Amino acid sequence: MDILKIENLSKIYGKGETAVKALDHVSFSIKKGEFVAIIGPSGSGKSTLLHMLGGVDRPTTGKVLVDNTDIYQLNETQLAIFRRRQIGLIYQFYNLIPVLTVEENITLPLLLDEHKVDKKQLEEIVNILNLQNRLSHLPNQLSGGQQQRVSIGRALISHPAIMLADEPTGNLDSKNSGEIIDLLKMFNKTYNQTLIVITHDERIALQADRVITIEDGRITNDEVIRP
Amino acid sequence: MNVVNKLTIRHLKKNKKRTLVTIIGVIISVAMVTAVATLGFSFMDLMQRQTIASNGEWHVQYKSVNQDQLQAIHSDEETKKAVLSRDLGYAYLEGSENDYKPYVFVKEYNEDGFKQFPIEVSKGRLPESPNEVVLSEEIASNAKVEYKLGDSLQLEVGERKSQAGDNIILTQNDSLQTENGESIESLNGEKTQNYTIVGFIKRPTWEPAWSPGYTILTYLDEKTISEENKVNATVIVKKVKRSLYEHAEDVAKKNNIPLKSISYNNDLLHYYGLTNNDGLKNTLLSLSVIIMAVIIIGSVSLIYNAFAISVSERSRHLGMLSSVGATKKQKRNSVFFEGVIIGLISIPIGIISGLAGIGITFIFINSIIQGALGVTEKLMVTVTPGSILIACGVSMLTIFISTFVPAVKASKISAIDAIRQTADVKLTGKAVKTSKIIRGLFGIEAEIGLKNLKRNKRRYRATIFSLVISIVLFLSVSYFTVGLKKSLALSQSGLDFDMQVFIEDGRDDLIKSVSSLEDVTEYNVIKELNATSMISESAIASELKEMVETGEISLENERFPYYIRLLVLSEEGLKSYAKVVGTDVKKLNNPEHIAGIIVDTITYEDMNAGKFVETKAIHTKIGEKINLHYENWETGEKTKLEDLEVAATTDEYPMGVHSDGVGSLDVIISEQVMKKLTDQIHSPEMATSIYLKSSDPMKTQQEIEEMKENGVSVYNVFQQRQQEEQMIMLMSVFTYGFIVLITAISIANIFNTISTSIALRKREFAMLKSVGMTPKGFNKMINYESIFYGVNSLLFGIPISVIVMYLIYKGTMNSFTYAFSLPWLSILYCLIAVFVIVISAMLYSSSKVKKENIIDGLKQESI
Repeated sequence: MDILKIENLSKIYGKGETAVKALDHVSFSIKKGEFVAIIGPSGSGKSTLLHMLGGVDRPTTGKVLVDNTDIYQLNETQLAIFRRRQIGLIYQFYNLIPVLTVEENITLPLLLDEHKVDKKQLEEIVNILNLQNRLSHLPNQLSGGQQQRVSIGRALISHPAIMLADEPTGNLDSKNSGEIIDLLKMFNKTYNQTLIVITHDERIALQADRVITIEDGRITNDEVIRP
Repeated sequence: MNVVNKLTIRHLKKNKKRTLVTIIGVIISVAMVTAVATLGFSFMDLMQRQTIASNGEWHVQYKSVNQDQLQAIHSDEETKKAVLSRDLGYAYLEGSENDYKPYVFVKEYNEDGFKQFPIEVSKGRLPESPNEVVLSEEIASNAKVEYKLGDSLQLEVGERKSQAGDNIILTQNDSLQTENGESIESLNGEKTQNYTIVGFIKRPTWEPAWSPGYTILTYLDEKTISEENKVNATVIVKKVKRSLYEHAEDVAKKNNIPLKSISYNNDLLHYYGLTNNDGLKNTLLSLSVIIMAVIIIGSVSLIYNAFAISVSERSRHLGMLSSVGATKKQKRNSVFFEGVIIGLISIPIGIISGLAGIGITFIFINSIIQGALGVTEKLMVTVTPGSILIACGVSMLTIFISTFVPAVKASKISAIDAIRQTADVKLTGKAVKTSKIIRGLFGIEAEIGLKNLKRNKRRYRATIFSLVISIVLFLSVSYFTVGLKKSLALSQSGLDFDMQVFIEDGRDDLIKSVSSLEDVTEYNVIKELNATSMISESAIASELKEMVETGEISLENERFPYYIRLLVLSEEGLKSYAKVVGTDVKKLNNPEHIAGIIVDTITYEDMNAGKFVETKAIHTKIGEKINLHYENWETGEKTKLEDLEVAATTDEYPMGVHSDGVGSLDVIISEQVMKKLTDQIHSPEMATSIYLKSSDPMKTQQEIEEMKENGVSVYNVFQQRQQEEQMIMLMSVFTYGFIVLITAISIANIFNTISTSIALRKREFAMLKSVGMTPKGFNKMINYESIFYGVNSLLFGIPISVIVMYLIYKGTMNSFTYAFSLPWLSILYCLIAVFVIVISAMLYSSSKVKKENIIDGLKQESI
């Protein structure tokens, strides 16, 4: 079953002569539970693609279907609600809210949804992320690796359809990088969580089920490593 | 220019909007300081010109000097001009129809004197020789004695003395001394003088209204000055300065002029701020200092904030500079340099706009000023080097204070801080802790909003402080103004009439002729009889008891004689008064049962404490009786009257009546009761007043005065009331103008702070959106943040204002005729204004963030 379907996606920045084609008629689909790595050189359009998938930026043309919903047919509010329920975003620079504690940061999508927090589920995630002793800390009291684990927790808490990670290890040393990737893989396998990771780290890409290579806004290679 | 300063300028240019807001804030503050200083100087200038216009420009006067002394005065280095004058004395004006002005007063001036003192010739010319005179027009218009140009005038001029025997020579400042309506004065040492009338002058402004002599001016020939014929030398000094007093005494000592014959034109000099222990100067000075202090506090909070924000934004640049070797001093100076740039732009514009602002204000208020202060001159913008210097100095001080802390902070920014990009405040969980209730009640958006406020305590406090200052200023000043208006309204309800006409006893015919005047719309008659009452010690006022204990007064048979005013109101008046007091009018109307309403709660002015005090004039209860005695002052005949029963006690006065102080009582009775009481008196002396309203009070007053009846005198409240109204208007203009400007500073401050705090959180907002915060949720968060600002500032602002208002209320004890009540309407305005300001600042700042793309937001480098 395809959880994500992309049809003819294009994104053009600027107008006229200065226009830059960041994405040029990209089409592909991803199955539920797949772990996909998107690689490519700087400026190839991979971050743009990720933002389109996450519903934080609008494409110039084309469609993004998540669970058969055309997300760019949604209005601003519906899109925001879609993001908080269906998409888990992980950034290179963590992007945690500095005034909220670790626990609050993790549960933020639920809080925004005015959902009750399932204590057991939270405990489980926190234990996996090894953050049990840090729940009442503020982000600036944590190390980089810890902060990234918090953002993974935040991405996971609402059981999203897709988890998107933009260079999740770009800011970390190799030990922490390894830990983060292991965690992501673990969630992918254990919870059958669809996972899309943008990276230019070959070693990470090689751990994925499938690697999509983007160059100049086009898919140049799409290869399944392990079916 | 070094590179640090270049960077500073670039930074200012990059943040145009904030730089502009800072500049505007500084401009407003400079303009206000300029305006306050200019207002002070202009007011002094106005009063100087006013005093000169009415009394002439002179500074020192040496009385009775001879030729040699005069020469010395003339040649003194400080003397610009010395004017000669001599008061010849009084002569009877044959046929004067004004009983209170039976004389002419002859004064001599030399040529300069005629120029120096305000004299307005209405017909003919000024005298040029000692036998020529000009006459005050009033001799014809008021005394009804007609003279024509060219007429000759023979006068027996002498000194006025009272037969009372104290042998003092009376002057124009002493009104006619009378007893029983007859003059008890005589003229001594008359000399015959022959004059020719060469002109007429308007009544000189320096002639007091109560003077018994009409002014006649003649020429003073300097040749006539001799040891016997001394003159007064009036000196206009070259430069008015403090040493003037000492110098005058010096001159006097050197030339054997007795010190007591020196007099100073203190009326004028105190408007130069020269006299010592001067109430006016102190009031003006302390008022200016207070206002300037408030302006400085308000503007420092704004300007400081602006610089602090600028420094925290520039911390990356400063750290980078530090990493390539910028010294502490260079980093610190870059902030001071920013201050200098802002100052260079703002101070000149501020001074100019301050002067322009006060100039425009003067144009609008000049007519009010003339009415309120009773002056004829106009306020003019007076620019002195002093006022400009004060404005510059205060502004530079303000900017310096504001930049000092940020500059020190900037000097401490290290390379590592910049690289780490740490927020300037180290957050702790405790600092941003909020109660669970907030989330439960308002949702997570509200909680994030509140935490955002708490994350930067200093900025939060600065914003709250600005709001609180504005709230307190607005509420306390409007309370003050409202209080003034209220006391005026109250005094008018007491004086619910345009004028009071006193009518002598036995002239009841005048009541009719006055009340039937054309413009009189309403009138009311109050009759008054004075009596005494022996009040027992237990009932007398506590003030009197104290005086008895200290032995200041003594009792007769353990009783104290009270002065009783028995007041009769008209039937209608009594009815409504009884209603106000809360008693039945029937109790008062029965002539077989003597009863009256006693005003037992009075206010009096404690002269020693300089305060108004409220007290019980008598300790009595309804149903008790007080004795009454009447004494005819002319015959000395004493009559014991019937005892009066207390029908009611009150603190309300009937209209137009005011307390005579402790030891006197006002008792309101009916016409019937008065009749019954006075039946026992041989010839009661009653005073009658008519309180009347008129459609043209000034005309009515003139008409009553023109009746030329001896038994009538008019007390026109209308003029006084109008003057008070204009005074309040004038004060309102300044107080509200002041509030508006302070509020403007605060608004600039709040906009600055809020927009910066939002701009710095762009990345956070983008992040919140990316995890699914809806636009509605975002608005909710921003609105809650605004509401928390508003609520918190009101939480501090309103109680502080109430305290300040109560202090004002306590301080102005003379208006305690009304109870302390909160100005709810102003508080409501304030509430609305606070939320409007905060919410609009929030919406303005967040509108840009809202439009911003999430991706751009996430790319923001600093958080």
